[in-house]
Amino acid sequence: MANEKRELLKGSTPSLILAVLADAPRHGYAVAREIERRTDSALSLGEGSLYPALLALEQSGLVTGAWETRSANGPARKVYTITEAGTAELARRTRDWRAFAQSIERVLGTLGVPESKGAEPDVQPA
Amino acid sequence: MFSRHKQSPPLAEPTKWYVEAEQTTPTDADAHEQARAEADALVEDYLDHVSAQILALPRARRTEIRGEIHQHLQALVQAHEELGDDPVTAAQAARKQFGDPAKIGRAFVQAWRPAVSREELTAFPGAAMKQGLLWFGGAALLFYLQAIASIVFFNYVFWSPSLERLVMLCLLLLPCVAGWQVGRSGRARPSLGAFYALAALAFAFLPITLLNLANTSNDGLHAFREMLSLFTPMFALWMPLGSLAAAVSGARNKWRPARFRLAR
Repeated sequence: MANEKRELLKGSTPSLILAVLADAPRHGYAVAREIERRTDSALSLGEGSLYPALLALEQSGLVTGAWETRSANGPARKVYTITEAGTAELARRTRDWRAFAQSIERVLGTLGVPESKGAEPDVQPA
Repeated sequence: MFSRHKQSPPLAEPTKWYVEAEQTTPTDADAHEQARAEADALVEDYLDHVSAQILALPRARRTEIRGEIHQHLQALVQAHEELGDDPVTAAQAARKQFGDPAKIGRAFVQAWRPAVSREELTAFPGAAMKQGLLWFGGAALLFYLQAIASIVFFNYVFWSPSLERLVMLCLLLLPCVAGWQVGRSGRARPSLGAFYALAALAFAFLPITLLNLANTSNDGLHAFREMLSLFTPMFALWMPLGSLAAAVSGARNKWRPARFRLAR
């Protein structure tokens, strides 16, 4: 189950990053914290996986990164901004995700949520 | 306070007493400094592990990634310290939270490579094939001209052994130059560079082979023997040399990342 969740999250990482950057430009650490905040820590993105995903988005031209210095002595930080192509991509991904989620919901929604019986499976294999 | 006065040494040697006291009883500040240094070493060690995985990326990009991760790790360490961890525990927790450095490094390389591959695929065939045909075709032509010249002008004055040695040396260097040029323009991995060099070589000899076969004055066996005698040195010498040069030249493209950047 944990693996399924991890795989699902891995595939959704670019969408999550784009969604967070759509609100405001952010640096990597702020992106991770914002995703954590919006999901009430339900989706804790592997912090390390964030940067390769950002690099891939930057390579694809969906986000741009620029180094900014906060103060005279403060360290420079790379702040990412979503591009027009990124906004369009986010809209497409959101549409696809909603269609996908609705399809799954149509199938799963017909079922009631079964009560957990511990480790015992409901149906025994023949 | 009074007991310390009683234990203090005579006033004649205050400096020595101070130094000894400092050496034997380290303060909290010293311990904290030591822990901080240890935490920094843990962070640096993590960064070294990531950096070792991303050597395929350009130096500027590697430096940028290292700086970015460094800042993120420092922020995580600080956050853990604010929750009550000591610096070393905080650094360990930050490392754990960040994940396996080898895995992250590989993810960086994967994120970087698709852009290279896309450009390779679009830019390779035209430029490399053109270069291949030009260089190997030219080299093949020179080879045949040399063969003809050595037969026709053998008894002439200007065809000396030293000139023949020079021509042979050029013929030895030609496949290297041709392969190098193919690899350069190919913007390809070594294997692809070598493949295209071979393909170009085959194309270069194709018209000559067809002409030889079409020559009706030769009988089939004679034409075959003649071709074999000309092909053998070429395939034995040119193909390995040309392919090797193309492979080395193609491999160097990896270290010329500026050429791979996508136009924005």
